[in-house]
Amino acid sequence: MKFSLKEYPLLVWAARDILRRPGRELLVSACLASVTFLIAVALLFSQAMETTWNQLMARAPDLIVRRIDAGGWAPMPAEAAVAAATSVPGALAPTPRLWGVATGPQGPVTVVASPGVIPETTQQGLTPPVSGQAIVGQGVTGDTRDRRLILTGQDRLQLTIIGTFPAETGLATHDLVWMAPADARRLLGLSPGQTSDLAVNLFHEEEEAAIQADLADAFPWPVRITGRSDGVLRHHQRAVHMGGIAVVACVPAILALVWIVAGTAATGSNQQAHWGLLKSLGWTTGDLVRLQISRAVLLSAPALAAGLASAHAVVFYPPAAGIAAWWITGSQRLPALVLNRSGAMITLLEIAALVIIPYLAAVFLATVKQVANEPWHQMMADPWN
Amino acid sequence: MKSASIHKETKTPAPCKGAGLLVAIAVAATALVVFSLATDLLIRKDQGATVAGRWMKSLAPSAPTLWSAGTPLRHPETVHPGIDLRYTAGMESAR
Repeated sequence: MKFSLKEYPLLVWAARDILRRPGRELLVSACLASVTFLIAVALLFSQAMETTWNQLMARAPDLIVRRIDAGGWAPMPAEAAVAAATSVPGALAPTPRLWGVATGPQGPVTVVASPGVIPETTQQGLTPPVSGQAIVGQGVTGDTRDRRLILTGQDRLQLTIIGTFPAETGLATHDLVWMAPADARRLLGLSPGQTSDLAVNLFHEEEEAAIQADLADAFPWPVRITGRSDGVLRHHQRAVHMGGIAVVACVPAILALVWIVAGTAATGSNQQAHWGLLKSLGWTTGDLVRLQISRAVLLSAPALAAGLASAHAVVFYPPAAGIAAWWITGSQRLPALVLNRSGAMITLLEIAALVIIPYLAAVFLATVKQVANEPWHQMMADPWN
Repeated sequence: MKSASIHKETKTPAPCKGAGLLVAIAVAATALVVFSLATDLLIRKDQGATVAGRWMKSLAPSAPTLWSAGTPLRHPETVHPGIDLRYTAGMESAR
């Protein structure tokens, strides 16, 4: 159906139809906006979470090589491990990692020592800790008083907090305690020259599965190799799972949409006499269908736009994002979600189509069915007759 | 019987000012919202995740901090590849 300036009088007529029953039409419009909002929040939030996690996981090492024994993991000699990994073609920049889990004042924290020099652009004013100092994530700062932090691992360690990771880095640093390598070794019970495990990057990411056997053979002790793709898949499943639960919570909203569509189809029977009158005055069936479609577009287009815009704001703008975070994750913390432009646009268009197509189809089919009769029959359909 | 008479004859059957205003508001509001959404999609920059990503690269953790420290989901590399002797694999949950 092509709209042009010639359609303007029809639009005005449709608007007059709306103004004849403003309360009822406003209710339909509000229902359409609410349905759109609820479905869009659920789908946009899960998509944004997956995009955010994928972006972070893309920065993680391709492979982690960890020495194991019968009782669990074991530390590995750093130099020998690096030499073994370097001998495998395709394995790039093997980096010994010093990390572990220690008990903090209120629970376990992730202890980490920097595996290399951290660029100044990343540090954002933070000075790398020296022995006896620590930089902690936002989740750890609440545990501390007078800038002292006591951690218990293989040994007990008291550190002075010299800085806190910025809040916007929470997804990577929330539970981290960054300390000097010597302190980390002491806390985790590692000897000098030992490392927790080895991070390996690959020349071709596609070789992740194939290179694991070669890498395992290159080490003189049993190792377990974990690939990044496993983590990406796990996060994808988690995002889909949460999105699915949120959509299930929207079932009442979807039922409301069905109710609106059914109500729209039923409305026509009350207006048969009115349409019959218009037809007897010269209106054609096409005119009446266009009038009803115009009325439906006038009602649904602003509602749809308002619903989509509200959902976009609630997912991607921090002050409002608390609502979505609380609804879907039950958390008080607001993850800084990443917007995937093409993905979000496709999702918005899909939701718009999901809501507006059934509504317009119901209007079209109901109108065609009702106005295709002769005017005389339609006027006789009035309850007074 | 008193006959009805039309005192004032008008060319338009009913006032359309309100209806015209409603059309204008609907079109303008929709266009404004769509334009704002499109602009935001085009110019938005997500600084937070970029900064967090830099720290992921520098400190090389294997997963974001979505789960508590010490759990297998937070540190998947710590899961020991033991023989699967669970009574009903898949019944347990690590969440």
